[in-house]
Amino acid sequence: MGNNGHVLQQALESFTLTICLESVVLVWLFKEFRHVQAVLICCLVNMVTHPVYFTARHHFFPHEYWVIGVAVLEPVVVVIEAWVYRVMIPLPRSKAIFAAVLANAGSLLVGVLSRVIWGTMQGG
Amino acid sequence: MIAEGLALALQTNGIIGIRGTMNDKILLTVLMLFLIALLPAPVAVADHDDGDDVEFYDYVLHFNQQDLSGFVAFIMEDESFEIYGEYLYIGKTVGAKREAELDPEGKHPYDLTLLYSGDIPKVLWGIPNAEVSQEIARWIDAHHDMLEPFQAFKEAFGKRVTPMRYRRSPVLVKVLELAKCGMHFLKPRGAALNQIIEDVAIETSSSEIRIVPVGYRFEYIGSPVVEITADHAQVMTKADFDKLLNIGQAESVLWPSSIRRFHHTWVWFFGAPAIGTVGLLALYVRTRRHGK
Repeated sequence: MGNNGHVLQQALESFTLTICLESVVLVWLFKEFRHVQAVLICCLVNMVTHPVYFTARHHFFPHEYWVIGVAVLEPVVVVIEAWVYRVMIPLPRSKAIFAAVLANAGSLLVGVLSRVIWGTMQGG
Repeated sequence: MIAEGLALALQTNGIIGIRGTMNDKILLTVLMLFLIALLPAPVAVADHDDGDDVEFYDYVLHFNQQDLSGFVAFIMEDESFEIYGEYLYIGKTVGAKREAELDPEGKHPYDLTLLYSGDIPKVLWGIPNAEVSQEIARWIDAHHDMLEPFQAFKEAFGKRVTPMRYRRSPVLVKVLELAKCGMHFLKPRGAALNQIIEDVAIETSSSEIRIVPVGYRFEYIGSPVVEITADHAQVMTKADFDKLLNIGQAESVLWPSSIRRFHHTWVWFFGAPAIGTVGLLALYVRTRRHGK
């Protein structure tokens, strides 16, 4: 715990999970759009937002403050991703926001659940 | 500067022939500014041997659990303390009582983990009473943003607790002093240190309970654990550390602070957004020129 490699491993695991989940959500939501391009946009926008989000949350909201970090940073990420989806796919504003909220909420939920389950398994 | 950046970005939009709505141009502008902002980032975070890297390693206090019925700890620095200080996060624990119930014989040492960030605690206090310490923990959670929490703490609990006093670890003082000089064996060069464990005992006197260092263990990745006693640590020199840690002179040579080195972590934290930004820009341009 606490070393550079561990932080990077956490970041990469979280990033991979996020990409997978958000790609599925985008492809599922917008069947008429080219799937490859949807996944590509999802990957690229997450490459922009995820490292910044992850670093900011770990730096400014460590340990038990992570919930506050999520509450502060997730909406920012959702707004950025919704904007990118709106312009690049392109989507109507409401659909873009819906897609970003759904994708990030799903990603966050699965991330938290996996941590809880993994933590329980380790503890048990 | 922002206005210049916007103007530059909008001009560039025109140069590369983007035709789109104002929304498109704003997005492109923001992306470009973000990319520009990223350029100096690696320089800002480059390694300059000032001891900051210590934050990436664990420092663990090992208590004899039989000495502890409960524990709450915080950092004092010059008669004021910050529970979550600018330079230090201390893992606050109140589970010792429960641990003791699960392990009544106290066979397993109880760990208090301190994550360092370029500084070390001046004084660490603990309260060896589970019931009181849990109450204090709740109090600290509710009051951690107070301006002078130590004074308030004394008023609230001063008569009910016996604080344990822990003064700065002599070995960490030396480690960090050496780090500031550039000799930094904590860094993954020659030897990658995973964590330092300080074994401590609790001594009582008529006036206070003291947490006393009795020894240190340096745990390296893929290398044997190096152990030294607290007495030895207090008189060690740089040469002693070199010898003890089996680091050759070539590896522990002073590194000029101007040397910039990149860490793979920063490649991710700054490289990925840069690549993502460029990728989005390229995709955007391609989409605008050729359609979907």
